[in-house]
Amino acid sequence: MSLNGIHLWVIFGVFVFLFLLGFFYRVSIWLRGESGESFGNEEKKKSRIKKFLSYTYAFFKVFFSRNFFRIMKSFILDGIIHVNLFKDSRLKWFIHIFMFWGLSAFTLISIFHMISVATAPGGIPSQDSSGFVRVFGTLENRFTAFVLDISKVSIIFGALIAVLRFFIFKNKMKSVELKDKSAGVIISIIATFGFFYEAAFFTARDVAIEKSAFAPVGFILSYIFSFIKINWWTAAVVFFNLYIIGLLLFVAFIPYGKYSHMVFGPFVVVYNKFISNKKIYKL
Amino acid sequence: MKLDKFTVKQLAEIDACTRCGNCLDLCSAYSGSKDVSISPKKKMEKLKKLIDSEYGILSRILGSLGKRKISKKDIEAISNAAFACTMCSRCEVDCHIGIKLQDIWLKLREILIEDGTYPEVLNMVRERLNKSRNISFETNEGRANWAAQIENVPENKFVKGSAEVIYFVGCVSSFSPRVFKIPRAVVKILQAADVDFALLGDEEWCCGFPLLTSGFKKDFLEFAEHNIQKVNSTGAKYLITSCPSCYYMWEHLYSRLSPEIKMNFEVMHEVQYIYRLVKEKKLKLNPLDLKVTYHDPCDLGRNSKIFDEPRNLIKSIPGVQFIELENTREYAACCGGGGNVEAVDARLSEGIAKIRAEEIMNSGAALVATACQQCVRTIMQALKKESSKIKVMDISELVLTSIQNSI
Repeated sequence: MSLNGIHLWVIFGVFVFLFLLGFFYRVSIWLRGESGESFGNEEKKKSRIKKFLSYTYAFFKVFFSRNFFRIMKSFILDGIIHVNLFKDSRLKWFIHIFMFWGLSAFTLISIFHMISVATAPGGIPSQDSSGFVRVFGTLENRFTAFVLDISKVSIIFGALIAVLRFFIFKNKMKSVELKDKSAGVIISIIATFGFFYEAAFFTARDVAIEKSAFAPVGFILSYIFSFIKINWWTAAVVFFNLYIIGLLLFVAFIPYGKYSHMVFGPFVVVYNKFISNKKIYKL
Repeated sequence: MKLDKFTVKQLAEIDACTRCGNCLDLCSAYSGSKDVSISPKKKMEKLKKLIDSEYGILSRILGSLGKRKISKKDIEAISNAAFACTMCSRCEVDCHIGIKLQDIWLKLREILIEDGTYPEVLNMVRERLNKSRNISFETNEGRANWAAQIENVPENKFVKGSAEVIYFVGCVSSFSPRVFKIPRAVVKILQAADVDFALLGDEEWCCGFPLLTSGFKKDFLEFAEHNIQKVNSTGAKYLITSCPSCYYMWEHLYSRLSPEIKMNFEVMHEVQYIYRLVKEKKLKLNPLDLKVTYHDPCDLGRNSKIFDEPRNLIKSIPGVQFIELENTREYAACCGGGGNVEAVDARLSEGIAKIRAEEIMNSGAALVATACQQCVRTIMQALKKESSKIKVMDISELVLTSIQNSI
C-alpha cells in the first residue's frame, strides 16, 4: 500500500478549485455593491468587471507607491502579528496566535508534504528526488516532522485555552457562536489524525529517535503504538489520507463561512489604513 | 432587502469581521440595555447571514430551490438592532480590522428605509422635517426667537444678508427652551469679541442629520443644498455651529456631496472659533474657582477628531481645575442622545445616559462641560434622576460665565 496515488492530485485539484471558487465567489458578492464614489448623487450602475478593475487599480497604485514599506509593515503587524489584539487582550491574542499561526503553518507544510509525497515514487523520497521533495516528502526530515507536529500542538493548545477561558469567564462570554465551537472540534479531530499519521509512520518505518523526537507528540504516540501489533503502514496511509482530506476540505471551506476573515481580514486592514480615504480611481 | 446598496468595501468588511466580540462591551446601546441582539457583533453576524441568504453559493447554484429565504422576522430583528444604535462610533475605535462600522450602520438604515422596515416614529420625524424644516415641528419663522431675551438685541435679531461669520444655531438650540442659554451665550461671546456675525433665521433649515441617520438620504440632500446655497449667498468666511452633529454634517458630509456644490467658507465648531478668539486675545477670561470635567460629544470627538480645542478652552480659564473622565477622548462613552434613539426608544436612551452620569459623578467635578446641546439635555436629565448637584453646561456658557465672572 503506497502513500501516494492519483487520488492525491484529485484531492489537491478539488481543494484548489473549491478554495478559488469560494474566494472569487465572495469577491463577486462584494462587487455587487455600489462603488461609493459619490455621497450625494445616485451613482451610475457599473459592471462588476469595471468595479473589479477600479478597485484592483486603486489597490496596486497605492501598494506600489512610496507607501510600500508602510503597507508591508501594516500587513505584518496588523494582519499577521495582530498587534491591535495584543494591545487589547493578551489572553485573546495568545489564543488567536496559537490557532492562527498553528493552522497557517500546518496547512502550508501539509500542502508541501502532500505534493512531495504525490511526486515521490512510492510516496517516499529517494536520493534522486529534488531538494524540496526530500525536505517536505517525509516525516523522517527533522524540519517537516517538527513543524507539522508543533503546529498541531499550537492549534490544540490554543483551542484548550479557549475552552478553559470559556468555562472560567462563562458569565462574561456573551455570544460564543456555535460555528466557533464546531470549528474548534473539527480542527482538533484533523490534528489528532495528523498525530496518528506521524506515530503510525514512525512505528511502521521504525524511524530513529534522533529524527522522530523532533515530532514530540508523534514520537510519544509511536512508543504506545509499538506495543500494538498491527500493520502500521496501512494505518499510516489511512491516517495520512484522513488528515489531508479533512484539512484541505476545512481550508477550502474558509472563504465560504465565518472564518473568511482569515483570508480577507489582512487585506481589509491594509485597505482601510491606506486606501479607503483616497478616491477610488474612476474608469 | 437591497443588500447590494452596501458599497463594495462594506461588503468586504462584513466578510472580514472576525466577530471577536470586542465591540460588544463598548457598545452604548448594549451597555444601556444588556440586549446582545442589538450589539455590533450580532448585527454583523445577521448581516452576513442575510447576504449569504440573498447571494450565497447555494442560492446561485440551485436557484430558488437552494435559496434560504430571508423571513420577515429576520429583517425585523435587524431593523430593531439597526435603529437602536446611537451612531456613537465607539465600536469602531477598538475594531482590530479597522472596519468603518458607522458607515455600515448608516447604510443599513438606508436599506431598511427603502425596504419599509423601520420604526413608525421615523415617519413622523421625516414629515416634521419636510414640512417645517426643523426637528421640533415649530414654524421655522421662530428660528431666532430665543434671541429676543438678549439685552439690546437688534430688531433683525442678528438676521442679516451678509456677515463675516454665520452662526448656524441648529434645531435643538433654536427651539428647545431648556438649552436657549447656549445660543445666547455664543451670541454674547461673539458680541464681546466684536465679531461681525449673522444668523440665517428662517432660512436656516435643519442640517439633515436626523434624516440621514434615519436612512432618509434622498430627503437629506434637499436640506444640504438649501443650507449651502444660503450661506454662500451671505459671502461669509466662516460658518460656526454649536451642535456637533450640524458640524459633522457641514464639515464631513456636505463637502462630499458633489463637485458642483462648493462651500465658499470654512466650517468651525463653536469651541474652535471661541478658542481662536481667546488665543487672539479678543476675549478676556476671568478666574473661576471650579473643578470642571469634559464630556466628549461623539460627533465632535470620535467622529470629527476634535479633542484638544475644548480641553484647551476650558484650561484657558484661570482658576479652573480640569479633571478628565475615566473614559475620555475617542474612548468616551455616549450620552445616549444620538442616532435618533431618544425618539425610537426613550428608555434605552435613559439607560445609556445613566452610565455616563455615574462616571461623571465619580469624577469629583462640580461642573461637567460639553460642546453639544443634546448632550447637555440628556446628561442634565440623567444627573437630575441620580439627584446629583453637578452642574451641566455647554462650553460657551462656561466661557461666558468666565467673561462675566458670575458663577
